[in-house]
Amino acid sequence: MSTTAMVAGGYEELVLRDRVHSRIFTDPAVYAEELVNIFEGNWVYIAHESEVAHRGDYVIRHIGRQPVIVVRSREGVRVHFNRCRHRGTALCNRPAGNTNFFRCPYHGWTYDNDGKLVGVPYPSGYGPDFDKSEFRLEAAPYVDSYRGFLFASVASPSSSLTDWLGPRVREIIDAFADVSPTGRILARAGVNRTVFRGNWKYVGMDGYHFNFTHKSINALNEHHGKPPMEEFQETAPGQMWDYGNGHCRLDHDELRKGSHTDEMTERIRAMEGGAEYLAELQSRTGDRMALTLSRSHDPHLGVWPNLQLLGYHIRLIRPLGPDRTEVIAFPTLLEDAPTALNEARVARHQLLFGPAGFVQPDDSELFERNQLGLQAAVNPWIFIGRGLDRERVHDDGAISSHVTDETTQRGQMKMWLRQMTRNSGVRDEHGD
Amino acid sequence: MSTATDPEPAVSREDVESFLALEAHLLDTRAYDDWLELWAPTSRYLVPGGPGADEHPQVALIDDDRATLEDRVFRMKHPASHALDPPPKAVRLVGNAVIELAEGAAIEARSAYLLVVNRQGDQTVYAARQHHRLIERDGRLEILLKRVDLTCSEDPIRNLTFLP
Repeated sequence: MSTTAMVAGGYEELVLRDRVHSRIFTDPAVYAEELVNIFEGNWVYIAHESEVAHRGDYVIRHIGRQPVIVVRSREGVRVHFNRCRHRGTALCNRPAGNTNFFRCPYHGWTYDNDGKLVGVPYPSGYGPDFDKSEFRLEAAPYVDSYRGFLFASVASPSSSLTDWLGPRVREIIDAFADVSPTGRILARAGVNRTVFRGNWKYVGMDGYHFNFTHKSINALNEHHGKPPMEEFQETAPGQMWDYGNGHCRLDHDELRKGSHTDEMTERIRAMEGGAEYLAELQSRTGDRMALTLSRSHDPHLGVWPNLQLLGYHIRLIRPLGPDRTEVIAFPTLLEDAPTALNEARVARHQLLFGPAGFVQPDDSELFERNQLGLQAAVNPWIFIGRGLDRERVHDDGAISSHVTDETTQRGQMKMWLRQMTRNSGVRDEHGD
Repeated sequence: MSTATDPEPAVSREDVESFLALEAHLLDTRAYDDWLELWAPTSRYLVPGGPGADEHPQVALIDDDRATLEDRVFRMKHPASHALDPPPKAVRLVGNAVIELAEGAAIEARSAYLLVVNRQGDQTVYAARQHHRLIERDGRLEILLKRVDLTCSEDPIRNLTFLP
């Protein structure tokens, strides 16, 4: 079905070099196509493998609108659609749990963790030709993972996961995980769920807003005689990146060199087990230790469309409507790291994020006010031209600019347009 | 062990119920500085989040010691806290209190709690079980622990920047 027919003039007219049409944030018809072309059209993040650490552990997630069970079977992590093959009932009605069998409460059809149909009640009613192997749980057709980050795709993806992420994104994910003595982070410290009345595309990766949206944080620091946050000042040494494929990052590596990382290191050294932890990290990362530590403190990475790594947490963005979005935060622990270090990670996350945090609610509030403002659509253009004149294009095609610019927004909108006009090489299984 | 010459307990059930009502009143009227005075110097305000894995530590919605609570109040009073601009109107109803008074020990008060919040045309009802651990010092009660188990703690929440 032609999708551009639904939008007069086509999507190319809605995404320009320095501005986008607000309809892409408000129009239910556009949202419906985003679900198909973006969320059910290519790789999306669904869970971290550490969430299903033990056999039988499962969590319920969504690929676009499609509810899936992410479960650890004897064979590994499996992703099945949460739908009985009999009459379509949702098999799991809790967000997480542990079970060796999925038994449909409606008529008792039973599946193992690998999705195999192992039992139906009163089987003689199905006759001698009934073949249970034809009724296994439908699996997500494409599943792959990187450093425990599990991605899935409903449609044939544009490339392998490794290529979809690209080396620059993988390097940042590596730093996030490499600060764990085993190289494994654990998304096992609970979850914060926030919902806001606004579009999913507002979330995160903005380097211009901090001193205004989060002015109260600077005021609190001043109240304690501390300087304002340096990260997002006009003269900050930070940069922002469009890594391609809609992935992007706010990069504070330069700012955090030297005294920032030294302070972080000393705080860790003062913890019980801290000195041993640092020695082990040093032996494993060598002269990349400071950079690894600094990046793991706040990767500020956006993996299009629905994953972000911020501070110590994994952020999962779940669109519920053109004007309704759920943001789920998974603070992460470092496997085999000192308890004090993991406690500090969770405490810091808790203070800032979640619906009662010091930082996140002001973002939600502004996203809601943004959605309200877009109703005044007589002039529909959203200006995202900041920093266009000072971007630098690198040899691999990545684009960087100052951390307060809008290179990240432009990078996301470029990928949005490619996916919505099906120019990303995405092929539907059925040949559309 | 009681004897004929035991003095009356310093704190009565009525004192505790009045204290809970006073706390609710101070929060409803946004008298945050007066509310902070109710807290012991070493105290904890805990609003657990949803259940996570059976491992420590687990993230909460709020888990403040007294110093962090003061920072929270500072932010709540700050004019640039956008999530509280305008501030919500809220009324709290505390009841069904089960109170354990013990001579020389902290007072444990468990109660039910309904909170109605109005902001920008939306009215939201929150419900919780509360647990206050109080001590009596110099003729007044102080909070050592306030734990609020919201019925919505595992659900997506829009804005919990008021004090639940």
